[in-house]
Amino acid sequence: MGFTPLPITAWSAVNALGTTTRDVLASLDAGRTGLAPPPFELPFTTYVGATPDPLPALPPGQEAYDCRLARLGMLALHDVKDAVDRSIARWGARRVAILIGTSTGGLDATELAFRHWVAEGRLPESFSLRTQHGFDALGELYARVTGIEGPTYVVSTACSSSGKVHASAARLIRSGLVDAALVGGIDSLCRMTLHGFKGLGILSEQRCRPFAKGRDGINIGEGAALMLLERDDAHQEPDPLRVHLLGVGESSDAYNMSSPEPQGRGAREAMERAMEQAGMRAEDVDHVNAHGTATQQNDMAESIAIASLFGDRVPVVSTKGYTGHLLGAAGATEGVFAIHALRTQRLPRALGSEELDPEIRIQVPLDGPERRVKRVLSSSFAFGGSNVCLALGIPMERAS
Amino acid sequence: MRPLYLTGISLWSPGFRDLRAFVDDARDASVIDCSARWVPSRLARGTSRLTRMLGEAAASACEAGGADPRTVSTIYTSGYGEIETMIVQLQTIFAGDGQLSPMRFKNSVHNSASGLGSIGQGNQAFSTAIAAGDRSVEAAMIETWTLLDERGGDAVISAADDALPAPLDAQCAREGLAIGLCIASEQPEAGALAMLDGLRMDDETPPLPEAFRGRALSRELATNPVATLLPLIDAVLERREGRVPLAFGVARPWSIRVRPLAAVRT
Repeated sequence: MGFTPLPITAWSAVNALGTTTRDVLASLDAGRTGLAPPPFELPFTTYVGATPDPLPALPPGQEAYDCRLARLGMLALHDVKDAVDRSIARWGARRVAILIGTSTGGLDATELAFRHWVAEGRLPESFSLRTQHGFDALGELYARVTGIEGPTYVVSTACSSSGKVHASAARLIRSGLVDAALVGGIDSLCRMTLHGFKGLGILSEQRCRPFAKGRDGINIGEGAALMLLERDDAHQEPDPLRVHLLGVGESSDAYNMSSPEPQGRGAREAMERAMEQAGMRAEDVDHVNAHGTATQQNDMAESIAIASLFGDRVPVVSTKGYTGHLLGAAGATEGVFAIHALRTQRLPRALGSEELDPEIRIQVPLDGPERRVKRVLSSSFAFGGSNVCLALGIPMERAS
Repeated sequence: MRPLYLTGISLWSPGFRDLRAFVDDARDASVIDCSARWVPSRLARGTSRLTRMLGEAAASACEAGGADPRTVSTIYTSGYGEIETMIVQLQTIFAGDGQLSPMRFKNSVHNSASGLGSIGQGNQAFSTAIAAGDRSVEAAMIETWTLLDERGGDAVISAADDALPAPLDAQCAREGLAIGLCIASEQPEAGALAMLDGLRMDDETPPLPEAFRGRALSRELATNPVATLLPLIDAVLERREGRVPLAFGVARPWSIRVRPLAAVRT
């Protein structure tokens, strides 16, 4: 099955590391964590990756969509808007798609409305289920603001959501339905997810420590990340460092709703399929941005999968120690981090992994080394056994 | 893109246990829930009716279409998804003890039916879960078409939205409906119900369907995004060739052409 590499002509990320892409990537380069105690009261202790407040209000005319999720989404859109405008001018508004991944949708707004209902016996006047809670409201808002008229929908497969939208977008472009797609993921901090992971017993009370000895669970984060995938990039600003989407691998564990298959079978299949689409062999992979949630089970299963493909040759970093687990926004956010590694030839320091688990037999670089990085895998695994892996980098035929 | 072949249809709605009952308007008040036959019994506890509706629609469509449940690709779509489970959890947080059930939390994700279905059938093939509001069917069809165009094989679309729980029902009164379609990339030897082709975007905004096979649809049913598929089912049942929209009441909906090939066994 042939996969034509797709140039990524713009990208953005906002999260606990900053409210602009530049700030986020500067914090990543500096090895600064965004994890801190929650900015709101909870009946338990944890750290979260909260995007610095205040988040700007939505543009005039879009107030009906207002919620934290939408504000995060609009912040991320700001840094890719010019490229999106050029894409629409080149391909036509109907030939550009919007595919967004989210796990929570506008749950943050619904929580506020529900709390109001418990106290007052009625929902607040300002609450709109359709435009604030509805998962599709994200795409609708982006369509209104950008003028994109192509297929617009949300993939919601929990933590693999914004990885899987890359596969959907690639298929839409390959099939000829569209020529470009704005893809990405957005999730905001919600009490329900924090309480839920606490109930599962996998929420850490300290900063998370992916792949570390004694790791004890995840931190939840929030944020948004976008990429613009296009059939070609002739109309965009020339860029000798252009990163391409080389392939996407998807798999299903068919094992357990919340625990990975212990040998990492589904994770391995997703990585293998991404490499197969990209025409890559294991020796072509220079870096893996791991899912690395810092739970005992995920990190062990994932490390087994990675080691079975690469041994300890490939440097593996989880960036959850910077942002926390962004759930539905994780795949796109970590894809942006992978793009940054490819463009700077520098890997993120493995924050939180300082005392490595001796049972984990992969290479986790602690110093943020400069490396030759031409091709990267970035994985996301989710509830329901939904796995996805992005292959990003320089297309094989252009490699030297 | 190459045409696709519709090989099986399923339907479940409160009062109607299957497609035949719905087509015949044979309402049975005892039908208030559906089976969870695609979900392992040990995992069925704590699932919402929506999860069971999505599983039932997928299972019945797969069976009707003769696809292998262990290898078929599955595309689940729902506007509001697991909102019933969400409300139960919000009640626990804001009016209860705050201790969320781990089982319920696991099943609160939009892809619950996808995950449970793959576990239940031992199916490691492609699976996804889509949310697109009133465009949920349209989005699932686009996703399915481009998937089969790339990979070939069989796929099941399972589309469902249930009635909303209080207090959200004040903003959206809706009757539950689940419809499943089994679709193949090649015409099967056993025959197909219809050929589907001509996927395209249209300019007109089609109004909500008012009737199905001569009987009026309630507004609560017509506004369910899944009801989008009723005109397609009607065209297949009546062996009527034509174009059907994949979303109603929205600007620039996508549509497909339906070319019936065989009578439907309901």
